[in-house]
Amino acid sequence: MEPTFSRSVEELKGLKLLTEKDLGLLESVDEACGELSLSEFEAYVERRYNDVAAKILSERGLMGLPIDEKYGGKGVSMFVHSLAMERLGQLGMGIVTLVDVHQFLGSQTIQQWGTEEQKSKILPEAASGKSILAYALTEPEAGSDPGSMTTTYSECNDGYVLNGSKYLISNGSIARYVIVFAKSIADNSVTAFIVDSSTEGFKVAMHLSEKLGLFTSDTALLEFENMILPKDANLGRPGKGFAVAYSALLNGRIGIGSGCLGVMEDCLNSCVERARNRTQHGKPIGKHQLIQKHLAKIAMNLESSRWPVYMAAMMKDKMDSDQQNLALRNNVDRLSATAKLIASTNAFDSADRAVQIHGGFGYSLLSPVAKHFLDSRVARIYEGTDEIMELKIASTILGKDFEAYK
Amino acid sequence: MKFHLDGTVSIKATPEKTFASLSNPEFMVSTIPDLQSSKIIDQDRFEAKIRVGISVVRGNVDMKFEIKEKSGRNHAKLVGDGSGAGSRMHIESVLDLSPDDGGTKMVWSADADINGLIAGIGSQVLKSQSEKQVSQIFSNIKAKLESIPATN
Repeated sequence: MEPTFSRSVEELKGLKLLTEKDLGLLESVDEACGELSLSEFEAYVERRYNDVAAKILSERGLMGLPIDEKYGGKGVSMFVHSLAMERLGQLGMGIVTLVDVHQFLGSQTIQQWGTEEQKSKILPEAASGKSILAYALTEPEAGSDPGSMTTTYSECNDGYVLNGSKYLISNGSIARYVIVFAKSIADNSVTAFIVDSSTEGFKVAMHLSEKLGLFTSDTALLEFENMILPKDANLGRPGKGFAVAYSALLNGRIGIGSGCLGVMEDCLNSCVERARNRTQHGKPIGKHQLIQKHLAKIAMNLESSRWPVYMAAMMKDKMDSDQQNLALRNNVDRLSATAKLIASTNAFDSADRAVQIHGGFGYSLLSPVAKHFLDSRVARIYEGTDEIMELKIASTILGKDFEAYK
Repeated sequence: MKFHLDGTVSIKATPEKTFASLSNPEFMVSTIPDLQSSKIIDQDRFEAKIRVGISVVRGNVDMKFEIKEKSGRNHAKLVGDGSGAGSRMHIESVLDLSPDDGGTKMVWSADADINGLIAGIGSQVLKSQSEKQVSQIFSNIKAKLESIPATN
């Protein structure tokens, strides 16, 4: 097992927080990461989507971690899932994004809100990796304010008619099923739908490759033109789409925070290697005190992020066993936002310091840390910006009447 | 940057034949992937220009190899030094052979010390790429040895 991740796992094992089954699964994730590292590097420097990542994860049975065993998944807890994401994060946020959207925003949401028919049909395909999932809330004019979305639906004899577009959709062009949020023409209420991308009217309007980073992750602009959805395409009750959206984001933020732990671990590993082996002014740069300061800060960033992420994941597991406890749910919502905010800002700071330690070479995509600098930036934006996270944290303390973003 | 690789390979050829091949520079040169050119110096030494790298980081390195510690027809050490593509490398590989159900079990280990541009890529990726190349070398060794007809 990769040494830094192994240390993390051993500590949690020592606290009796992991079972033998959990350890076996994490070994498998670690092996998959070893197999993925080369293709992820190659795809990154060539600035293209890593088209073997999903295949490698599927072959090892890792595309359905949170899905119940009865649907072909592994049925792991949020805590173990979070640790798996931590290891994947060492490879970069590209892989984290693929898995976070497919599993935390996709399959977990369908598992929570779907009908038995929807779950029986989609979850086995998602668990095997045969079908990739995506989540489409953001629009060109509706980011942090999803209430201003302009994608609409109306009822028709066959079910629903969907029109509109969704922007910056991770896994958008590779997904078989996309969870799409749309506003009712009749009453402006928002409903979540499971959209089959093979349906007429679904269009990948643009592959968004002009990104600052995250090259190995698929990002697309999707368009829906008079798309007819069947009567049973709604996910959750009609008009209750925001409840579906926010529950998905609660999960997803834990996934992103977990991935950011891996980013910091990889930055630390690369910097320790560099500090020991790079000689300047007649001694390894690790013997220069200002380099040690950066190393100490990265290590502190990592340690100060681990507990918020682990705490959010463990409390999410508790919430899943006590669904009616609204106070607990509110608390987990806060913890999830806190974990993402702390881990993503610390990951970006760590990546910045890692580039500095690597000097001129750190500014090259060939260095092991440049991708983290470019990619971790998006973790402070997607699935809720830093600012929205702060407002959410404040509102969960002050109460709903103080929600500043309403 | 230093890293270590090891493994075991089963070969359907006797240890004697395997050892004779592995201690022969001409045979060893023929198993190197992405070989651009080579020169046999004597019965223990050879030079090879090899195309190395990952993705966009590619270039030729000029390597000098020496087969050392040939002992008991079951042990050998291959030492290589070279430079190119903005990098320097030193590799030491130890091979130990033993009979295995009519064939040979080869236990190998390799220690590499790489500096310069290629080393900057980082140990995780570099180790992964090295595993891929070593696997190709052993696959070539196996294919060549197993296709050589047995002689008494």
